[in-house]
Formats: sequence, C-alpha cells, structure tokens
Amino acid sequence: MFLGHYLAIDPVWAWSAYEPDPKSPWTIEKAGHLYRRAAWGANWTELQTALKQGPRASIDQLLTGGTGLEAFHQKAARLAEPLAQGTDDQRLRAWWLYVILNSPHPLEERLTLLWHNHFATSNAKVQNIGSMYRQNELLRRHALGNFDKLLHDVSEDSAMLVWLDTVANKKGKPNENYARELMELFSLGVGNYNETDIRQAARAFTGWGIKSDRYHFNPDEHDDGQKTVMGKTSTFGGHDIVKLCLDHPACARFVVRKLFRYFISETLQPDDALIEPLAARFRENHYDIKQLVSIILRSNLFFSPEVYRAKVKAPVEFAVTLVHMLEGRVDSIQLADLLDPLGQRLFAPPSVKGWDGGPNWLNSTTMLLRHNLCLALTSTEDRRFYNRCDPAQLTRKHMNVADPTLDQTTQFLADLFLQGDIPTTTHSKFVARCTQLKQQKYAAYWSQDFIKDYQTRAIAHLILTLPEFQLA
Amino acid sequence: MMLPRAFCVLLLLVVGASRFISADEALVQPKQVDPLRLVPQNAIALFHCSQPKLAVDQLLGYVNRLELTRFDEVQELLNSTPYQRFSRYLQYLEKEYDRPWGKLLDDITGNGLVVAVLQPDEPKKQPQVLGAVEAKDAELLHRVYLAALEFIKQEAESAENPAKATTKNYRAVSITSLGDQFCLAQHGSTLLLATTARVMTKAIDQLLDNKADSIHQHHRFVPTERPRSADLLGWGWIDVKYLKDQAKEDIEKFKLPTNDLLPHLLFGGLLDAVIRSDHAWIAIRADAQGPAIELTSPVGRAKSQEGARLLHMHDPEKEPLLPLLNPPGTLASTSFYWNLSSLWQQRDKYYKEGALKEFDEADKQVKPFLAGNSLGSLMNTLGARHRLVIATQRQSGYKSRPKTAYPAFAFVAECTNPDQFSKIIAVPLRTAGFFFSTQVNMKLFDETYHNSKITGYRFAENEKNHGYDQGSLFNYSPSFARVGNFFVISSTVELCKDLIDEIQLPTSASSVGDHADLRQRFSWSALSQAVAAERPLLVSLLTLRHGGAVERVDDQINALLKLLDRLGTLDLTIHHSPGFKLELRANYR
Repeated sequence: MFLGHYLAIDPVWAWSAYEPDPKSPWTIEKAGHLYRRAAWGANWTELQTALKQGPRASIDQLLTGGTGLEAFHQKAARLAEPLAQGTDDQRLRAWWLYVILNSPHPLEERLTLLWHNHFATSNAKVQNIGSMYRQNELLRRHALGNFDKLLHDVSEDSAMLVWLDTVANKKGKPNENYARELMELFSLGVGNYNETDIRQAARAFTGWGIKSDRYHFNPDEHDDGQKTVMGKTSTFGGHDIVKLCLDHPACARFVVRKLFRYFISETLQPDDALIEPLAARFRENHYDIKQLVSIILRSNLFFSPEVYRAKVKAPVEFAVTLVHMLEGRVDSIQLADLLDPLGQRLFAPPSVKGWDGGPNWLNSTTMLLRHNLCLALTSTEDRRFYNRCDPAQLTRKHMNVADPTLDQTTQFLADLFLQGDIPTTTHSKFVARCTQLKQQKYAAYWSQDFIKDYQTRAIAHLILTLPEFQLA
Repeated sequence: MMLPRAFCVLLLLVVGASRFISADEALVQPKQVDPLRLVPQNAIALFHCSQPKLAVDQLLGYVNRLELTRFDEVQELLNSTPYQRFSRYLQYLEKEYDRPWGKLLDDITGNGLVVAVLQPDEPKKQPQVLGAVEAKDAELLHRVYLAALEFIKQEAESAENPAKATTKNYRAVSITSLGDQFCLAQHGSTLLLATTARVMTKAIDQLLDNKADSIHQHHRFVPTERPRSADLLGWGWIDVKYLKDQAKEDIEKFKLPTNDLLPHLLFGGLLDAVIRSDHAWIAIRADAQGPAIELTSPVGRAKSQEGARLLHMHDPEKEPLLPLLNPPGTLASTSFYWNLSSLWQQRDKYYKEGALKEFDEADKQVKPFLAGNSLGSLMNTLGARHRLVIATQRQSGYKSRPKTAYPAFAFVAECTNPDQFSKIIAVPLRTAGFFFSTQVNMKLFDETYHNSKITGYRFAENEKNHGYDQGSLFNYSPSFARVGNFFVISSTVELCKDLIDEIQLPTSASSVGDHADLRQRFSWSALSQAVAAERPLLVSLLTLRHGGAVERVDDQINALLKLLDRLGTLDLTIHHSPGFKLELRANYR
C-alpha cells in the first residue's frame, strides 16, 4: 500500500476505515497501539475489553469518554479554584497531571495537551496562575470541539493576550506578535501570508487588553481604519482577522498536518495529496475536531505497520502511561517535579513553537531519569510512592493462576506493557535476569510471597526500561 | 545522619535468626553494667537510654493515643514494602527465639544503650560515633549477632550497591566492617557499633580492660547533675565548651558590650547561657500529658553578664512573669521579661564606645518623632513584663475577604507610667498612620470600648485597596489602646477588643507564682480552626498528594482537624534561676 518513500500513499486506502480481516486481524498489539495514541496506554482490563469489542466500538468509546465526565469536570474545577488564586505553578502542573490521570475521557486530555503545545503559552511570561488555568479550561472545552471557536476564544484568552503581547498592541503603536503567530503557528503556516498581511492584521488587534484578569476591549486604543489583509480590505477587527485565517484554504491543511504528526507519525512527511482529502472533510464539517480525529483513528494508515511504535513518548505521556498501566495512583505534586528534568514542564513550553518532541525527548540523561522514575514507581521502596503502583499487586489482581511461576509472571507483564513486542535480541536479557532472580540468595526471613513480589517488581522494572516501552 | 539509621537497622538485624549458631560457643557471663563506661573521655555529646523497651512502648502509646493509623499516609507506610519486610523480620525473630518482640528487645537492650559523638581524630575532620548496647541475655545476643552478620550478607546481595563485609580480630574479638564507614563487634553482653575501626578498637580496649578512659573521668561530666526522674525515657550530655572552642570567634561576638545588640535584644538570655555554659544536659520525659524535652545547664542568673541579666532575667525578688494572654482563637501566646528601661539607663553595659555614640546620636534624631521626648524617656515609662499574642481572626470588620488570610497579632506592653507612655507613643503611631495613608486609602477612627479608648485605622474597601497584594490589607485594622497599666498595639481592632476584655480581668494582671523568665504556648487546637478556614485549599492539595478520590481526602482532613485538636498545646518555658532550664512540653488532650 505504501507507494514510495516518505508517504506517497494512496489517500483513498489511507483514510478508509480499517476493518479487521485474516490478513490484518484485530490483535492485542493493535488494541495497545490504539490506546497508546488515543489514550494513556491501556491497562489490563482495557486491553481485554478492546480486544473483545473490536476497533469500531473501542474507538467510539475513546471518542465519547467514560461515564461521569461532567461530574469529573466539576470536581476538577473545584480543586483548581483555590490553586488558581495562588502563585505556585507547581500546584497547577500537579492539578493537570491529576486530571490527566483520573479523567474518564483520556482522549480529551490528550487533545488538551496537543492544543497546549499548539497554542504554546508559558507562565514564565504570563505570571498568572489563574489565567493559565482558564486557558487550560478553554483548551479542554474545545479539545474535541470546533477549531473555529477554539481559535477565536484563544485569541481573546487573557494568558495569550499577555504571552504574545496583544496587551501592548495600541493604536499607532501596533505590536505584530500575535498577528504573526496567529498566521504562522496557529492557523496557516509559513508561505500563506506576507509581512504586509501581518502588519495590517496587527492593527486589527489594537485595543485588545485585560481588565480584572479577563479580556477587555478598549475602543479608544483600537485602530478602526481600513486594513488590507490577504487581499481583502475593510475596517477589520481582531475576530475578522481570525475569520480570514479560518477561511483560507491553508488553514484546514495546517491543522490536519498537526494532527497527522500527533496521531500518526512525527517523522513521516505526508504530501498534499494525502492531506487534502482530510482537510476537505475538515472544512466541510466546519472544523469539527472530533470528526477529524475519528477519521484518523479509524483509518488504515493509523493501524498500518509503518506507524506502529514509531513515536517517542513525551515525558508526560511516558509517566502517565506508566501509572495508568500499573493501575496505581501517585502524588501528582511529586510527579510534576519529576517531569521537569525529563524535559516537559506543563504550562511552561520552551517557546511559542512548543516542545520540539520526537527523538529530542531522549538523550543519555533523560533515559537515565526515565529509568529512575520507573524504579521509583515499581520498587515500592521509594517513600514518595511506596506501594501505590505495585506491579506485584497488579499481577495478583489479573493473573488467573494460583501460584504463577516467574516465567508466567514475566509473560503477563510483557503482554501488559508491550503486548508481546519483545525483540529476540532483548529476549536474552529476560532470560538472564530471570535466572539471576531465581538463583539469588534471599534473606532467611523472606517468605515465598516476599521473594515472588520482589522478582515481579524487578521484571516489571526491566520491561519498563526497555527501548520499546519508550515508544508509542 | 547515616549512623542513627544504620544503628537502628543493625540493632534490629542483630536480633536475628539463631539457627546458624552453634550453642556450645564460649560465652562471657552477663553482668549488670552500664554501657556508659564504654564512652571515652573525648566524647562531645552522648545520648543514654536505660530502658529502650520502655521508650518504644511509650512511643507506640502516643501513636495509639493520637490515632495516627487513621491517616492514609501512615497506612501507606505500614503497608509499604520496607515496613512489611521489617514486620516480617520481627515475626521471624519472635518465632525463632520463642518470645514476643517486646521481650526480645528487652533481652537484647535491657541494660541500656548509649550513642556518643566523639571528637574527630584530626581537626576539621568529621566527628566519630560510637554506639554500645548492653543485653540482659548475653547468650541470646551472641546468637543473634552472628545470625545478623549472615543476614547482612544476604541483604547486601539484593542491594543495588552492596557494601563489602570484612572481618578481622582484635584481642580475640571479631570486628566486622561494612565498607569503610561502619563496623560492629560483640563481646559478652555488649554490642558495639562504630564509624571507624580505631574507635572500635579503643572501645574494645575499654571493654576488656575497664581502664580510666571513660566519660566518668571527664571533669565536665558531673553525674550528680544528670537528669533523673521516674518518667525519664533518656538523657543526653553535651560538651558545650568543646563546641564553643571550635567557634571561638563567633562566640566572642556575642559577649557584652557589643556593637551588634540585635541578637541580644531578641535572644540575650539564651545567648548568655550558651556563652557561660561548659556543658549541658538533655532529658526526654514522657508522662500522661505527653512528651517533654528539657535542656539544662548549671549556669544561673547569679553569674550572668550584667546586661543580659538586667534585660532578660526576671528578678526573683520582684513580681513574677505575667500570665499568658488567651483571647479566643489564640494560636501562640508569649509572656516574657524584657526590661528595656535598663537598656537605656545602663547602656554602657550593652554598647561598646563607638556604638554607644551612635545610639545617643540616634536618640537625638528620633526626638521630633516622639513629640520632643527622647527614646530614653519612652523606655523609662515601660515596665519589664510584656506579652505577645497571635490569634486566628474569628470575625472581620471588613466585608471584603483577602485572598490569603493572615492571623491577627498584638503586643501588650507593661508600663510603669502608662499616661506618659501613651502620650509619647501616640505620636509615632499616628505619624506612621498618616504616612501610610498617602500610599493606600485608610481612615482613622477613635472608639471607646469598655472604658478604654481605641485608636485605629481601617482600609477603604475600594478597587485600589482590593488590588493591593490581592486584598491582603483587609487582614488588618491597626489599633492601639491603653488598658490600665498596659498598652496594646494590635494588628486588628477585633483582637484589640478581645485583649481589652481579658486584660481587664483581675486574673490577667496577677502573677502565676512561678519564676520563669519566658513562657510561650502554641495551640494546635487554634491551628485546627485556622486550617479549617482554609479547607478548600487543603482539599485540593491533599487530593493531589493522595492521587485518589476527593471524598477520601475529606475524611482525612476531618481526621487531621481532630488530631490537631487532640495535640492540645506545646509549651516552652525558660528559667534562668537557679540554673538555666529550657523545657518544651506537649500537652495532649
């Protein structure tokens, strides 16, 4: 089906819905892949359910989320309220991690994280926890909603107004920052506008400011003169410019490419022929994000071998997946601190372009830190987490074997964490570690249960530190 | 930090399995001996516990009494792998030695334990540490010691970076070293733990020869001064002179007269005790009320530096300290002796010549702010007994609520000439108010409350003031009032009124009949009220910590509030007469 290098793919095949057949059956590997990309990995129950109900129902469920979403949103808002009044961004980071870990709608949180990286805004400049929280709520509200509305609302968002200096954009002294990024990074991409468009568009956003931490329009500071933007002339205001961007044919393609990179591949470069059919449907559906995501997740391309385990897990994704698959709960304040050195500080992307992502997440230091995080979570001896994510409890819960051998436990954990994706080269590592664990001399007072639990934790740690687990 | 942890672990390990031990090994007969004799003269500090079992029982008693196991954090600790392993180890020991762990602990440590910090071998090196445990049952100790060595090797196998265990003999006593920072040995009823082989061999010499190199020969170790009482859990001794010799230059700075009086103004009595002490004792006690720590030194008021004595030390022949003030919602309350008039009248005893001139110069400069009066005349109108109070704000005179609520606080000064004091102090207080009113919107008011005139300021509840540090101004309504012989300066008018009510009670001005120089009380119960006021934030933070359901966190907060209430108060008392004594005592409910 792949007609050449770098994805000269037949678009019709690519975006047609995947249907299991004997050549390409619905397997635990595919179920795991779906949950890695559209949720935060699958725990054992989710894997088994997905395997049983097939791709269509599994994707439907991921798109709608679990029960109690509204109540969860209300609870999350109540938790955030006192934190948003403070000045400690660590608490807000921890709050979002808590929401990510506990939300019944993991896809919604994944999309919220995507938009956080798309409309990358950092509290390092905004310096207002309340505004950062409200932006996060806005991104969540529209995460699977309408991109048109999202772009309009982000433009008025108080954190964004500070982040891209719209608050300093006055009549006679236009600041081009927001107009530039709106076109370059948020909607069109380079090559679809010129410098004159930016200068003229900047004038349209004059008078946009903040009062009592909320958007406020000051007509005295607004330039209401004629502006010519992308070939059209009028006394445009800010929202008119946003609409001009949304009406531009490049906008849908730009967003589709973004979602392609997020859900399918960060390294493969899709040509316009592959993107355009999706972009056309995105336009037809009035920028409905959920429908776009639905097409992507159900596609043949999404389930093709070329995109399987072809993405590097971002630090948040890595840590949350780990906790979710272990069916644990963590102190998210501690977790927020641990994610910093891994390279992803929520509410503080490094620039307006967001995190580079992909292979950039990994180097010798971050790999070591990922290993340490795995050890801290699974050893049950780290006082920050103790037994909250204990692999031994997990095996007892799900393995339907009265007295499993170490080999059986290893097989279960490999199926859970990697869905059996253990290369033959890695297999020898398992054999060696299992042998070592079996031969090890344990303290005389250790019971057989103690020894088994210790071995289970050691094997779980080994699997979670394999290169394969770093990939989504 | 390393040693106490290693010490505890090894103490437990040492109570190990005996199945590896041959029963016919030669054993030294146990005898009633104090491990203190093994502490050498070069000890800097030591801690002695004569009945470790009793101390552990008492500690567990408090855990039960405070119902700490109701907390998820505690439950998590108890369910954690390290604790489960420890618990399993205890079960194993109970089975192997056929006795409950309490009895086991008593048999192994029942004749006492001591931990001593020793002078380093060379200057600027780390001090060494020696631990000694005396067993009631020497045979048991011997068996479990050898078994423990076996366990240590087994534990090391599963450790990430196991320390190598090596064994060598010294005078027929086997010493096992773990790495280069820890070694242990057992002989007869004695178990020894040390940070270096040198310390260990000296301790073995002392154990075998019982020579005269023991702390008992140290001239600053005076056994008659040692803390004693029925409720004593353990006691300690500190060679203060040795520590002072290591910091001679710093200590010199604190001697009077000085150029830097601030530390003396705040902590002069304590500094004086440190400067004059050669050694100090620590006692840890536990009774029905709760645990207490006591620090004592034989230095008393009599030979104190004159400046420190005049400023901070209560004269036993004069009126004793005033009782602590306890308005509703009191978080912390202090009553102390602070004779500022002595500072003025005998300032040459405090200040060196240069600083004395600066002091006199400053006195001239403040005159315009004191309506032409000198600082001295203000100080001369002050008494020597004052009180400080911090209390939760039960009610506020503002409709607006600050985003962060701070407690109210007040200083209650005793005056020898209250009319004169009120007259002089009113000028700078009003001037400060006027100056501040140029920065924020505030209004001066006078109010008569229970025959006392209160002068205060209230901030206008307008947008400007709301924007000032997230409305933090609405935590305050600065007020002052004269009440009989006392002058109240309070951060809120509400606290000022509460204090007026309390000061007017006859019991408030009367003495408590003791000769303490400072009393301080911290109320956990009031803290519980303050915590309850911040419940939404607490729910959020604990939910993030817990990682689970909010409903569970709600239960935990209720348990926390109950615990705070049950913790009662924490009392600090300082006496300078006859000797120095600082006591910190918990009063559980």
